[in-house]
Amino acid sequence: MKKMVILTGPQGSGNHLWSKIFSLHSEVFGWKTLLDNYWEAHRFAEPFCEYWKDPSKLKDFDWSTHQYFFTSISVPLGIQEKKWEPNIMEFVHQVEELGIKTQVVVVGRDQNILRHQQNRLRGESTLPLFMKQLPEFSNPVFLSYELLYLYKQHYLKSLDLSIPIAWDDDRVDEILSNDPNDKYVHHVEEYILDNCNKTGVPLKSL
Amino acid sequence: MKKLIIITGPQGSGNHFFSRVFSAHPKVGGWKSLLDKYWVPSDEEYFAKYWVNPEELTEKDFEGYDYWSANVSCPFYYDGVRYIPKVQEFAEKAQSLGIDVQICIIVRDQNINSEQQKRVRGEVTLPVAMHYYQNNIIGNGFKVHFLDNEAFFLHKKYYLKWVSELLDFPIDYNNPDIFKFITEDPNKKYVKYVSEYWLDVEVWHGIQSKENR
Repeated sequence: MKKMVILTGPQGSGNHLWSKIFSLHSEVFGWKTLLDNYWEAHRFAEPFCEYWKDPSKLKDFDWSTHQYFFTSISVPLGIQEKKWEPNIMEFVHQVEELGIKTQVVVVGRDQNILRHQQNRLRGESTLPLFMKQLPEFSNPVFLSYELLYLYKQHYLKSLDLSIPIAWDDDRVDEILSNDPNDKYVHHVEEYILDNCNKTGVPLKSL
Repeated sequence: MKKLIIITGPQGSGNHFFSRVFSAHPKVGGWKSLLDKYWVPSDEEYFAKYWVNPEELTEKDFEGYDYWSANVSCPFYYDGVRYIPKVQEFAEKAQSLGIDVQICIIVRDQNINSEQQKRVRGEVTLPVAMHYYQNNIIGNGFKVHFLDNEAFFLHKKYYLKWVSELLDFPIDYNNPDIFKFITEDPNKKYVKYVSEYWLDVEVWHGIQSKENR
């Protein structure tokens, strides 16, 4: 049975990053051009972009070339007045109708960083639009941006998804060479809990 | 067969927090004192002494519950002395007692985790934990899962529900006590606004229509 991983997450949560990682495997039909360019616009370059606009067209897609397929999309897609909300479960339904087994994968990133990233780039926090769809997903698998940057190949190797993952590909190190979260994090001088660690005295409440 | 989840993470990665989450289920034995207190010293954890002397663990320690959660940070302090916990030996001893064991490694953003350790401990111990996990735990016989601090605070009960299914272990993800001591995301104080980034121009360019580029 052919299988497709459908990856989604809030804007800025690592959709491009994970698309690179999951497109590395030669047996997976994915966003291969993203392996040559650091960044590409989803709506022009992602292989299924036109089908996200109208999932009923998926019946016209040539599914004969591969056993494994990968697509990704953020919710929402686009910016300000031009943004729109892809219907993840509608896409899933249309793919399943074609006899292809799907797996929904949800990516996440620190919510504070997400908020700052979205405000800077999009002029608003679009996180609530993603969270609105989250309860509708059937049995999603959750992936972590922070885990990927910390454990890299160890984390990828541990994943049990329905498509093969090229966790040992040399390009994984290249893709993960700089942690973009670093620029958002600053030193904090002190915090209420610090003394507990030093004295060992339990704290009943904050 | 009784089940044990060993939760371990670098110092400051969320050991207390995830221990509270797992111990909140009435069918799970473990660090129950964390349900009443925000913070408790690590050497008062239910299994604390066995991270130093795992050979002393007995069946008696698993009486009263079918499900257990145990927690230790790496490194950790027991009675004022710093140790590398014997997680692998503890797991092997529990398994020899007929307990089904899974290990969960907690992850928090590495930049934030390092900043927290630098402030509280005066040194970054994250590499110590990474070295121990990569050389002694991952790929060393037990099924290892990763628990993600940021995923919990973002997706909350949806994330915990998935973790419960993944581990086949009861988690009371609808229990409001999980959030009892959480007034705000602990990462928030570490995160600052960034006014620009080199990729922004590319992204702004890319999200215009082709004729407007």
